[in-house]
Amino acid sequence: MKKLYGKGATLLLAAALAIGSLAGCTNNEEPAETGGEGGASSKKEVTLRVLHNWNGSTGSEVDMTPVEQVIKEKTGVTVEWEYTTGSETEKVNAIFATQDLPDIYTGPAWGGELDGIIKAAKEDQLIDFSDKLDQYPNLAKSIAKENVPPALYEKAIDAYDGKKYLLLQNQPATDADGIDWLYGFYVRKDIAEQIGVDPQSVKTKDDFYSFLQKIKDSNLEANGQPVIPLGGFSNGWAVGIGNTMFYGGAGYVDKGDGLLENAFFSEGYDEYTLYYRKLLSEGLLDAEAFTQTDPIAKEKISQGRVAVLAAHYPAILDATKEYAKANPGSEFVPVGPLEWAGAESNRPVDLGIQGNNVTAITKAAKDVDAALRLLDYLASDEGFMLTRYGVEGVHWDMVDGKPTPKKEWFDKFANDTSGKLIERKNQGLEIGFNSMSGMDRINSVGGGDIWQDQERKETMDNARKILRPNGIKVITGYNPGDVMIKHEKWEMLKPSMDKTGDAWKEAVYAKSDEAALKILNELREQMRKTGYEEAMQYTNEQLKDKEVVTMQLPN
Amino acid sequence: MTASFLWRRIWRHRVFYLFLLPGVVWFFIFSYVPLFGIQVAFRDYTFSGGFTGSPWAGLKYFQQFFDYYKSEEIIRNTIVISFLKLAIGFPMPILLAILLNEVHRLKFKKVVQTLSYLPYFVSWIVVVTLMQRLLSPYGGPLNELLSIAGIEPIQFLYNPNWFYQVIVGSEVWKNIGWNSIIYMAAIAGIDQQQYEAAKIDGANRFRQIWHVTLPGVRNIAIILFILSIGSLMSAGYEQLLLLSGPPTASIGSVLDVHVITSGIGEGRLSYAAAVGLFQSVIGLILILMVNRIARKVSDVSLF
Repeated sequence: MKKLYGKGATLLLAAALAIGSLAGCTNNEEPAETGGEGGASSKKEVTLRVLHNWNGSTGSEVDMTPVEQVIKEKTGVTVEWEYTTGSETEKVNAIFATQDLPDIYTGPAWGGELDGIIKAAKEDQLIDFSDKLDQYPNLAKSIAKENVPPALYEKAIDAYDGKKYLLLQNQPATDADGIDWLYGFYVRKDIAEQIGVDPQSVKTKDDFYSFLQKIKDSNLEANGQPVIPLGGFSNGWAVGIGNTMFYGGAGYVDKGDGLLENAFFSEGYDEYTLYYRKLLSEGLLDAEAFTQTDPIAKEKISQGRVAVLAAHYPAILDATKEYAKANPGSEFVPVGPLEWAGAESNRPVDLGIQGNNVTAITKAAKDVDAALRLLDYLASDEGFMLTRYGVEGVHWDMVDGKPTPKKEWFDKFANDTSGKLIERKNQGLEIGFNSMSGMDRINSVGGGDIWQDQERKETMDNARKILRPNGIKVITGYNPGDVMIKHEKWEMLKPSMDKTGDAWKEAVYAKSDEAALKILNELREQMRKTGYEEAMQYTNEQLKDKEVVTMQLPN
Repeated sequence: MTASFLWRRIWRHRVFYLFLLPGVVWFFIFSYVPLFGIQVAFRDYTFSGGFTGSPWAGLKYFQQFFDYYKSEEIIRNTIVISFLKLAIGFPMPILLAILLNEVHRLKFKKVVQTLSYLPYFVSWIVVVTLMQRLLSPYGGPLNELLSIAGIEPIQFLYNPNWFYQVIVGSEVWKNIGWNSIIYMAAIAGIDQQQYEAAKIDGANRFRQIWHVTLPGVRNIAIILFILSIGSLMSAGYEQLLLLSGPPTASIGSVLDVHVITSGIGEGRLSYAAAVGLFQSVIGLILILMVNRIARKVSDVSLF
């Protein structure tokens, strides 16, 4: 009898396992008609995996946020997010090399990340949606020739014999929408007062050096540790922005004879390197600036252990929010404006505001139409407002034609000092949809950043007045780097060109000025050997009589 | 030996072969199947072409590596770091095993053994995070201790003056316990009568170690040494990726990290495969050479 029970139990278990396995094999993400009311009834419900390839980006702590719920109702699409922790370039290369592809890829519109996704487009890894653009007017508009900077258009959007693989996002729809992140050096106000230096009196590179020297000599302490005169965030971001004191700041400079050369070859680059070497060797620049991880960098900043920070202002305000609250008077204020090599004193600041994000549908997408429907909705005015402000009627109301935040949510978001924006994320804001919401229309269609508190807005405006006395000018010219990649020797040259940043950092840590210059010169020689001269000559020929970017501040 | 006889023998000892099976399967999947991918080093790898459909490129990527102005430096650094790890890291587990063998308090011995094994199970990322905290010049405990002694804070990590000490020290600390296990086992296998005979002959403990223990671990040490030589072109990518930075690039850039950064970081997969293959071929040649020398000198060899 026992044996019989045993056999019966075994059979039952085997049957259950077999049924379970079969059920596991079925695709539970099979598109199905929704039974909902309204406009969603004709839309198939589908879950799409989206890779948000921005290092450190994170999602909400809830399964379905109010914003995601609205998106599901409007498009039938539920998004399953994947976020990148680590190098974005490595991620984009890894997903195509291993074929572990999401349905939708979205990530940075620059550097190796952009090169990687363009390579994927050229090698048929992405979906060509050129024949479907007429059905998705918001997407068509976002990549129309007149809405994309010319060099980027040629390089990434219209580079595939009429096919279209990439969408560009966050390029300003109008001049009023261009965001200036206010990159610069910022000092703790109490420290500047303590050493008796007005931050606005610091203008030249020598002033800046003396300023840091004074901070060091004052032997200040915070949290029981000596205060570091100059520091940044993880892996050196954005300590090197002092380069604009030595050359125009763009990747290429005018040699003086009307011909261009890579800034790495310029005299200014040598001076820039030796200046930073001096700061480091004299203990004015954080010795760990280029090697520290994000938690360690943020720990130093949040404990008030760094006097001058180099980064964009929002990052500094977020990172120092708690410390400034606990220590009134210790907020960070702008230094300078510092000298800008080659710029007239009345020159507006040239900023590259050309869209920061590209999105593509991979060949593994299980429902291309659903992906396009989602992206088109996000790129619509309604979708744009949803991703920036939240759900109308829940998080904000339209008052006198202007989006106005509900007090309850405004207070909740403002009181979240964690720096991780958890409150916003749990409502569906800042979790990645804003990266895919078409052209930036924050001012022309929306009503500005409604979640920005008044105090922060005033702080930003004040910094803007100081750092941009002549206003800004959005760069529209050609970046020689985008042209050079078309030269036949580019494949050979690229590996050496990619090493300039590494060589600069190595040179900054060199034992002597001579050793530092030797490191730079060795790489210059390697670049020449791998075709730099020919590629530069080609670039100069192609850009003859065209507007070229040689002056640019970081943004 | 005929094939049928061989199979009969295998079948007779099938239980023992069953023990062997997971190891064989592991090696087949992770060491032999990937050999198929070696061809990428000779192709212009494309995402669409994959391993077999990408166009042939001959020795183009090997040429690119040897034309790279840092290739000599990278090879030199790899050999120097591996050699230091071998010279210092190889005898350490033998020493630990001998020392532990001399401890007669069983409880103390077990505690020391367990403590020495533990770091092996901690990943490099955790070890390096710990090191960053412990060795930080800004309030790290070690520098705090030094400051009590009146010594200025020292930047231990990413400092060319301390680079080799940090790399070799952390390697030894992490692996000494685990690597000593095999020597402990070899020592345990030494016939106790040999020690008794040595004692009767008047040998003190050092003499017993010299004449009994060391010869007892000699063969296993030679085998492990031959295997270690095969890794001379591999300095350990996780450790070097995390513990080398811009300040130490001239002495800390190694082949393993170069393969990762050029392959995954820059998307040059064929180039990375070529560098990796070069690394493996040199490793194989070294193993064959050392194996032959060991066979001639000591009659102990891998094959």
